[in-house]
Amino acid sequence: MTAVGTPQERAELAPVLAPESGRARRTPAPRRVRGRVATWLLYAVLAAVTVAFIYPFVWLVSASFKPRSEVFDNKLIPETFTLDNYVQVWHEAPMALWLLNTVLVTVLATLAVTVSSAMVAWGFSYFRFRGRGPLFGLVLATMMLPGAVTMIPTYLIWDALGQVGTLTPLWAGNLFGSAFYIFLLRQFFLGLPRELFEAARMDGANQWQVFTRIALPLTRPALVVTALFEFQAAWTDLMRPLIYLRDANTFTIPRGLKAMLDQFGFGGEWHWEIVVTASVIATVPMIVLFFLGQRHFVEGIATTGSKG
Amino acid sequence: MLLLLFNGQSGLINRILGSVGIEGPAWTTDPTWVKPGLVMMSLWTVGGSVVILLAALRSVPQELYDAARVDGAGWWRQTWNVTVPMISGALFFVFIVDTIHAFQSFTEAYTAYFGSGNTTYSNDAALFYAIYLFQQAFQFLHMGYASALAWILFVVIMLVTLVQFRVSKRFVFYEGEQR
Repeated sequence: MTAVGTPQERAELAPVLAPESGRARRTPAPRRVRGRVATWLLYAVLAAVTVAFIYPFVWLVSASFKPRSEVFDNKLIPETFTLDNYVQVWHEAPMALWLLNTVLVTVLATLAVTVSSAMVAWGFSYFRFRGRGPLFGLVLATMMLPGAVTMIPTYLIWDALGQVGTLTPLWAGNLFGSAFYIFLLRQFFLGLPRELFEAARMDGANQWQVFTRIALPLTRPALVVTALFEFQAAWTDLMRPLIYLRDANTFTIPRGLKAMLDQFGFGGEWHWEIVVTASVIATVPMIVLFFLGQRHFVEGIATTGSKG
Repeated sequence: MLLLLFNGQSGLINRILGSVGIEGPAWTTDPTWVKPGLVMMSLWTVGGSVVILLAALRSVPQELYDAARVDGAGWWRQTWNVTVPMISGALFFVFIVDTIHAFQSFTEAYTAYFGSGNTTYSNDAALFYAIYLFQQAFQFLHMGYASALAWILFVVIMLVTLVQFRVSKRFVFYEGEQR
């Protein structure tokens, strides 16, 4: 995803994905239970796909516990188990500070985009006014320009506001919503029956209450998706930190990783174990958070009437 | 960190193909296979669409299925006449967004075929519009030309999206837009 891949690196890591591939082996099953064969086959395919998806991450975690000489030996269980990498990463870079910066930016970005996009989307789906179609087209149009085109103008705006070098440009733009989420939430709001809103109005709810008490709870799955996506995007965003951040103390995790990659990766000192360990430190908080939030996520979805 | 995911896929795929007796093509160097390879690579990122559609599926009220079953609808009828219409809004969203996204294909192809120091093979098969645009702007510094390219791409995407919206009126069902 991040734009730091080069052919050499790929060559280094190419063999990593190779083993473990032929997992979808057919299990011989008794002929009388044909359904069971199908079930087993299905499980085998699913397992193979799962392995393919999580293998890179398992590899990464395992490599972070290996000494330098063994990083690319492609064994999932390290021959020599060591915690030195973690100690060293902590000494080499202000990881705690970077984590803090990232958490700050991510939380603000997520909150800002969810709240603002929901409001704009509600405006486009509930209210009927002249020019609604063209205006919505204008919102969508912001998705159609390649990001590279708007990079420089956006930079100039933040520069004029004197915010370059601070964390503000990384999240404040989200206060104005984002076309992607506005469109997404509009689709869900439009799926709600209007009678619900009219019934609420009859019962004396004002516009704001219709929005917060009726529409928002009913579209909770979509809101959770919005928050989740933006959280992930903000957490892994490399481009904007590269553009706006100069001082190492303001770095977010991906920006810091890039700096470490330059210092310890190719062209640098070839200390891949440091890069690998820093990657794990960068990824684990998000995964932990996701698992903590997952229960919430699933519950949030279930309340709206599950299909089972 | 996510770039680790995109590495060495051809190796994995060809291993699987090899295990069932097919010799995989040279995904990364053979011009005919570069584009199919990139398309398969983009499958790696379906997670987002899956989550959106899951959210939509979970928003379908159970009563509709109960009613359908009472009316004697089987699994297929339920899927086609209840599930699909109820999630058509989300399906449409995924459709539009992915179309726009595909027009702007950049990251995967760029990191794979145009990264720094890559001179080993011709990669015109992966020269997408957005990559050409980026090269003109930031490699050759033809800013004016690149801006014009961007506007043309913008207009093309706009027209395609407009057509999709027109067509969608026949297929997408919004409960809130009734009457």
